[in-house]
Amino acid sequence: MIKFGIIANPYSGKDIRRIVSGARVISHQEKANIIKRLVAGLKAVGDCEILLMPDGSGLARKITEIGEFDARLVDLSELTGTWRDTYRATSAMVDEGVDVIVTLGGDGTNRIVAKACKDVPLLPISTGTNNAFPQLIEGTLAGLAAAKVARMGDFVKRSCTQKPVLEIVDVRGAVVDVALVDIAIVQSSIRGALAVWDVAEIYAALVTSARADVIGLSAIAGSVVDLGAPAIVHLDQSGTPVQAAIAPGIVDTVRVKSAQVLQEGILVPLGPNGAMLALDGEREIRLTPERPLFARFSTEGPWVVDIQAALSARPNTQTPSRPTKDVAHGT
Amino acid sequence: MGLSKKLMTQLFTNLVRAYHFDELFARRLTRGELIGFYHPAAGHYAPGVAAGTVLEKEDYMWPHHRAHGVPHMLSKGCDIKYFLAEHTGKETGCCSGRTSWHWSYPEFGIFGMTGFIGGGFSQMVGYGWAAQKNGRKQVAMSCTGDGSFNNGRAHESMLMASNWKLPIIFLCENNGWAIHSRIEDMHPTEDIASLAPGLNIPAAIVDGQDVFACAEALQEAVKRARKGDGPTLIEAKTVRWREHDIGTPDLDGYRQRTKEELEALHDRDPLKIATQQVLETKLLTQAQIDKIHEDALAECDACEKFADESAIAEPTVEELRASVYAD
Repeated sequence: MIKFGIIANPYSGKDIRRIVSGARVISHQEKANIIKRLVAGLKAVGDCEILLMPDGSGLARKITEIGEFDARLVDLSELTGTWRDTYRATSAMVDEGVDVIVTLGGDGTNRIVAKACKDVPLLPISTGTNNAFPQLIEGTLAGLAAAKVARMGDFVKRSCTQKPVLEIVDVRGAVVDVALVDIAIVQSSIRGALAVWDVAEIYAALVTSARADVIGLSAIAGSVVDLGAPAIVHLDQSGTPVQAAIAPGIVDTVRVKSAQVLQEGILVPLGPNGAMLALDGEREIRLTPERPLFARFSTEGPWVVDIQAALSARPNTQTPSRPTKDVAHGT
Repeated sequence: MGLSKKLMTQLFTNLVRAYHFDELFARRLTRGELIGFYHPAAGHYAPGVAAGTVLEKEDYMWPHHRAHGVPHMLSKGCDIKYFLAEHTGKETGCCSGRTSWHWSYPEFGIFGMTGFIGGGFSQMVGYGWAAQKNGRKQVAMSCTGDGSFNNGRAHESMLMASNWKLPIIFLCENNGWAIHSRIEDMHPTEDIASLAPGLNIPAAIVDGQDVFACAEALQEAVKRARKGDGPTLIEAKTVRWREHDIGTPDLDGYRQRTKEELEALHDRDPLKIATQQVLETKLLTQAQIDKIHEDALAECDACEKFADESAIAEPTVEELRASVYAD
């Protein structure tokens, strides 16, 4: 039987940016409603098994109450209420052989899922803050798209694109973390409330794709390098002013001192020591002299369902095709 | 973003002080050296420390009942010796030793408390209204637990605060328990923060075990309030690894909470989390941290000495009346 995994982050869309920038709030109720519509789409194409991530905040319970469908919680034995639950739930779903993982979260949620999903395609529905990675899509259509992808064999690869990532690498070449959208090097020395909303604290930003149509650091890069290019942008008061939407509700002027396109596989040293790396909007890693770190652009990130391609494809006319990579031009 | 080194050091120092005072109050109640009862912080003190530390002396505050508001009050600058004296029935207490554990530090914007859970919401609307009218850029910090948001006053007060754009920060210190009841059995929404959008109040959830995370969020909420942008709700997710109050069974409904359950909560000890951060960021050395603990213990000793050596309150009937009714 076809299996779907659903990772719904109970804490996405609820951080401090609701205060500092008026970002939207997505309640448990709304997430459960989205999943109810998602499952209607999944089931429209036939029987399937649905695996859910358990959580301590009652979201999974609400999903099954409201959704009126049978779902099985993956066994995590112990809940931590942290990103580890998302990571372990994703791993468990991959081990169980799910065909597609649908995520409800923002860039940060998808970053964790991407670290564990291997080759299983993701269908990310945006319920976060910046939402540069996930898509603003009606749950019903997302369900139909995921169902079509799961039922069409090699079509999985034809209707998905492989997204790029920025890898954080140590001196031995080991990948210690990844970012799907951006890495900000910020002055703050603590994780604090996690989010980054004050551009005055950003030394530099690395992005997987310079874009003009998203919120966040990618928009800064999109103003100074070719759209779609991976880039590093250094900010400094002596730089050229650029206006960008840094967060929902915050349009700020930043000063770009320099910008360069990143080459795949090339290591970029990260500094200064004492600064924090914010991965996809969340302060995560402190830079220390004892542990030098580098960023490396890679085109081999997670596979993501191209909803337009999936919904418009006709099984009878499909032909085997190599997967496309979303490297230089975005989607 | 942007906690200064000075503020971070103050937050850490206040967290250490809150920890040692919590131990002191719990110890004294167990020994029969405290009047009334005591609701230990037991892991739940970072939100209160952050709330008190980010405020100015003149700002209004309603401390939380847990730990009897000590983390909040000491962080705001109040001298706890007067509160301990109150709690031991001494004439030098902040309410002249007549109330067991009612606080009063008017010079710090703290005017008293009520035994009714959630009873402070309506007073906070009054303080917020006063702050809005007097033009002194004061804000009002309302610190309560998840259980208090079951109360009608909470909803009415937030409605009024939103209507009038009052400079109030509603801090919900959510430890997941209303005495013996789980929050999921008491609220249709899992997050208290989910109540706010319906009242047009911005809200955020923050890690209540990380004093720096709490302070960042509260600092931004205070900025909004001072600018005249109205109320904010901050929900700090915290834990309580002891009973509701010392001597009461530590129940989950009718079931005793297990040793394993409680021990697991210690993984999120706010003092451990903060200590690790100040060491990793080289904000403080281990020697400096040790000194902060020594100073906090010395402060506790001095408070006990003051309270123990003060005279027992023996008010006359006339004095009691004078304390209840205004002239």
